[in-house]
Amino acid sequence: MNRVITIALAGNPNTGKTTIFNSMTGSHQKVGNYAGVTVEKREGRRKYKGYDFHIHDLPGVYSLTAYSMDEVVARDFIINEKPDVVIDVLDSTNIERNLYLCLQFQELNVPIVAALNLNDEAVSRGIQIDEKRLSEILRMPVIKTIGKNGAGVEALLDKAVEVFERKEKPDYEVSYGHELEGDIQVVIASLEKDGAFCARYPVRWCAVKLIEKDARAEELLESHAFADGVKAALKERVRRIEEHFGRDASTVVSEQRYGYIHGATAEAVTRRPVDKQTVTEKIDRVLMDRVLGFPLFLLILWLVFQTTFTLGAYPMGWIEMFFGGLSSVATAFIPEGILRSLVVDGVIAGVGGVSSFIPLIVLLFMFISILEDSGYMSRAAFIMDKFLHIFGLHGQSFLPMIVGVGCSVPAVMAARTLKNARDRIITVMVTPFMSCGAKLPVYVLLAGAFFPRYAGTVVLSMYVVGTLLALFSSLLFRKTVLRGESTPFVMELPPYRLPTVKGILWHVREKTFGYLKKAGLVLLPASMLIWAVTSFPKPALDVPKDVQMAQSYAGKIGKEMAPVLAPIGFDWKIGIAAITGFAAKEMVVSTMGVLYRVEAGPDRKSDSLREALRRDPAFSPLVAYVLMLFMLIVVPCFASLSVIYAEIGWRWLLFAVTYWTALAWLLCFIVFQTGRLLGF
Amino acid sequence: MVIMFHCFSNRAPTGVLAMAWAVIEKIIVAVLLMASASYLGWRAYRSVFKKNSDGCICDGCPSSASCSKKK
Ligand SMILES: Nc1nc2c(ncn2[C@@H]2O[C@H](COP(=O)(O)OP(=O)(O)OP(=O)(O)O)[C@@H](O)[C@H]2O)c(=O)[nH]1
Ligand SMILES: [Mg+2]
Repeated sequence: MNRVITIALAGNPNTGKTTIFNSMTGSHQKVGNYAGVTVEKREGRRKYKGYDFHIHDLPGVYSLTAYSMDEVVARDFIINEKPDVVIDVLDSTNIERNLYLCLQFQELNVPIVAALNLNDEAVSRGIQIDEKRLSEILRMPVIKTIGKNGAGVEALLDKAVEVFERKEKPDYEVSYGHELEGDIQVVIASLEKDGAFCARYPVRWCAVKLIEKDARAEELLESHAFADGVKAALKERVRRIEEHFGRDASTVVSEQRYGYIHGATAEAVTRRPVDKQTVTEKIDRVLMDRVLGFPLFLLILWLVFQTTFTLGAYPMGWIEMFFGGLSSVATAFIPEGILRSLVVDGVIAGVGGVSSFIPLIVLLFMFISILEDSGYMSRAAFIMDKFLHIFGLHGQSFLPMIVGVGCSVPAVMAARTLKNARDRIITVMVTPFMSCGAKLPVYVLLAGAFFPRYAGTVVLSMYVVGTLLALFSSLLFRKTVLRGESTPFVMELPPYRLPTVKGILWHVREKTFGYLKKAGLVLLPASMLIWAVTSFPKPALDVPKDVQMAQSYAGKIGKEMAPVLAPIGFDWKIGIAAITGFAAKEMVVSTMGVLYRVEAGPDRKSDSLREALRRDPAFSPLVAYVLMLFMLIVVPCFASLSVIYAEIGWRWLLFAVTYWTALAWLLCFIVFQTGRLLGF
Repeated sequence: MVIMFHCFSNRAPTGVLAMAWAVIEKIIVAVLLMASASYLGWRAYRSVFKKNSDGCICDGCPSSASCSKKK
């Protein structure tokens, strides 16, 4: 039986906790160069020197006074689950601020091992830390690490074992100076009257937090047997502190803490002045320029899309060829009948149609992850902040929105970093307008078929319309159901970091497999079912295929929906396709593949879906554009809905679904009818 | 084997074989459809009421942010 050691990786945001976690456990959690990448607790395991390590990666926090949901996750884990060892991951380039949180851990009396991470960056900036000295002063093990290449990670585990095996409680001594210390002791004495309370919570921490007027500590105090007595003593002391220092008690406490940190680092840290501008500063001079910043941001986005389309075109062609070949092989080997129809018209038409878009999605993801890893995303959020405020949004809402260009699921979860519940709900409700990667195939297919010369522009227009809708919707919510000011925010700007080739390749591989998996597990079975509802019941007579389809189950359902669909220009096939998008947005393309493959016999097997669509009388450029709009606005896929439900609850989900559907229909109605009047 | 032969030779089987094939074909299609329907239903159920064992919310969606992968 191995012994189990529970470890929590905690620390400020963007200090490399997840990087170290990945290196310890061999997992591939998302790492990114901005604050707030990890919003959920993650567990991983590692066997090392006869111990079973249960390692938990926590969201980054600035202090243990929790404001936002991700901060609550981190704090509650440390306080309630009491891990055996907390590995506090510190940013060596910013040691003072990082130690602030570390001291709060010390006060909780949890056993700590400190990791001086990002050591390579500290060295290149001329910061030298004497870890032995620091370790003596702060009475905890300190190890230098470089998360990126795993240096020092094993040493961390060794130290964790050492701390774990050393049974006695750690004896940290955060000194607040003798002035304040007297007051703290008085509060401690009054707290200690309730023995049970002291067994449950670290007393010194409670005392300091109470002086700081921390709401959570005040809450805990309610369970104290002599709460009134403590409150009286506390009030008296706070009054004395505020009179003596002439400042708010909480300010005094944090000043003293910084004072202590200052003392510690003065002895252990030496800085060699680096006179030249850092690379980051140089780049930011240009990219964060007041005037140039915004146009440059747009230019970068435009480049991302342009490159995605140009590069993606090659592999797309290969995949199309592959499925074309597969289709002829299947036709040649399976005798005429329903099985052949299922394979050729159902599976190959459905899955093949979507698969060719995989390269596009993977490339788009890759570029987004490069932007995230490099540190540019935080800058973009910063640039957008002022602009977003006009619409009652936040610079911080911008990050979830950009993540939403990839997939709504992580985007909705990323909104957890927003402190204010109202901001968070608004952000969650508008992120689906950001056109996730799965909507891209629909746009590209339709734009390619009906606007061959302006395909790129038309697709881009979807993203522009989506962004505008997100902005105006949030303004609308602010003015009606979610009144209130948007809170100001401070965005941390991490230094630029060169994304590693390994990291990028890993992203590409993971996305590709992710999509193959989705194609196999969702699109394949779903295509078969779509094929079934469009092929049965079989007519008695030998009628043309499109007549048969119109009489099939799908056709009948479609006809029922005609009163709703006709005003926005959709016939039953388009309606059915649009509905299947609910399962997964790419499904729309699969369904169209199945529905429009009517004439594709053995003689015309090269007939692409694009041409089939163009030949269909129900389609016109106007209808195609309206369909794209519809797909952009209408409810996101099933998976996103279940996450949105988990994040904001069913009331808001219901509201959002109504809003999305109504907006989608209304906007499509307006566009279609105006378009028709104008003669398109 | 005989059916396979006929499949490869791409000729509609005749006689008894044709009848056998017609039945087998229907069975294959029915099984595939039933399997797909129940699989998708199960997935939908799971994504609403349960997370995956590894904490994935949806394993089709390309989001490393919500999924952990063990090596
Ligand atoms: N140069 C250098 N970069 C590192 C090191 N460790 C991590 N990074 C980079 O720092 C950035 C942040 O890493 P993460 O592991 O996502 O940080 P985190 O602490 O988990 O961040 P949150 O989850 O947002 O709290 C990424 O771009 C990493 O590649 C290191 O030792 N040296
Ligand atoms: Mg992280």
